[in-house]
Amino acid sequence: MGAHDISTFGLVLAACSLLASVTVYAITKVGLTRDLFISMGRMGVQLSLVGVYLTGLFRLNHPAVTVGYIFLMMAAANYSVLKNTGLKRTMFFFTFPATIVSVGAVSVYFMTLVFQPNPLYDARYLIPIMGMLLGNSMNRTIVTMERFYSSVRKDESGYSALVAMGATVNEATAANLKVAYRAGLGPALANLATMGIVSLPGMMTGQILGGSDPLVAIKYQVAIILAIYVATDLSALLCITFSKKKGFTRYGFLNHEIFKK
Amino acid sequence: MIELISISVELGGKTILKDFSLGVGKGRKVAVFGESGAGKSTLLKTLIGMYVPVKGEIRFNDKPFVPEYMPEIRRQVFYLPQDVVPQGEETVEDFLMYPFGLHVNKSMSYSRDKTVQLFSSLRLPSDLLNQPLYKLSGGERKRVGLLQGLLLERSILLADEPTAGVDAANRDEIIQLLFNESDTTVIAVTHDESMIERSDVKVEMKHVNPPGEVA
Repeated sequence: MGAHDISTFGLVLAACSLLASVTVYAITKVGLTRDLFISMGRMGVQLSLVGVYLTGLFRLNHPAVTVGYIFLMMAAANYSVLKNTGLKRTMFFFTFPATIVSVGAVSVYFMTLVFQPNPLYDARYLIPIMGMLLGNSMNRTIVTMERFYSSVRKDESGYSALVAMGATVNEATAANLKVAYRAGLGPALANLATMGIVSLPGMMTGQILGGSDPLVAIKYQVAIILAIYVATDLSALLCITFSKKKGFTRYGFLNHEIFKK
Repeated sequence: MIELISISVELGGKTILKDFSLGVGKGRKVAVFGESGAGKSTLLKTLIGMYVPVKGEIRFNDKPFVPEYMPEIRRQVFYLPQDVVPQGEETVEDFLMYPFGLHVNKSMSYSRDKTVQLFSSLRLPSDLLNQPLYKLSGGERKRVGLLQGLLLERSILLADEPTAGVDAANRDEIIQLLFNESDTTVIAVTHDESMIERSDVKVEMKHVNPPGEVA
């Protein structure tokens, strides 16, 4: 059983609902109507394209093509992390392998032991699950990396004194890692605590609309939340760990070359 | 023996030290002074590896100053920065104990008795030990920073303005403590006339970056 299809006219009517937003903007004079239409237009085009190539990927269901697409998703996620952290793009060569290891290991674990689709590389499972893992990991990694490097930079004098007295980079940044991790973890835990009360998870909603038994949908949702949680924890830690190679000089000091001007 | 052999250091494309040479024998007390921006702090930061010379060579006890030898070199060095910045709520004693938890100092242990003794030498009340570091004045923090180095008993002390922000009455104690140990090599960047006078090697830095004296 699938979800009841939405007709083209139905989608047009959905778009008409934006008139309410346009009216709000007119009343509040925020002047964002043009931006609203540009963003909504982009969303529509992007999702239509996703629909086209996902249909193709699912139909093809070839392991090499699916894995190739996943690598593309990982590269895009890393690009986005670096774009938003104030760090130079050269850090990509350290955060990209970190994402492959962390998100890759978690997805292999869950695909083989928990979800167990047949075949294991089934694109219909692998791609949406990787999308959720990467999307969430990316947000946490942005916050954690940003906070880590900015806190070292903020107290560079104190950090340098520790390195000068013989502390290794790991020893000297232990406090920074703690601060950064807490900054990223706080919102994730708060979101987890209100799940089902304040927010209804998208995947579960989608599955129920698609005709799944709500209990099955909930089991999937719980498993995916666990996968997201572990993947984001590992991704944030590994991205920082791998990036230290470039983030600090061979003498252990902060490498200012990593920051955008 | 610390040797700087014709080093040049550039920061942001600007030459700060040019063909600078200096030799400091064991136990010598060096005061580095001169106009602002002449490269005094840059010199100290180069000696801890924060800046890498584009030219020339640095040697510590005949060992080249390269990343491979840094753990060994750093076991002998303590660097006191211009500002001792507190980390969160850490107490003065947490701050003093911190270096003893580092791998490099695993053979050493923290002594509270010695700390109390040094506190009295620097005219600091010992009840400050339980105070958060951020509550101390700039001058007090400076003295506590120096104490951290003295507790580690390093053979080379690099101090950036160790008496700045400290009242006249306490400056003498700092200079006394820094220059007291005959075997300890001290390189201090300073504007303090008394400190310059009591040092046995005086290095004046100028914007034109002249070669330094050789001790």
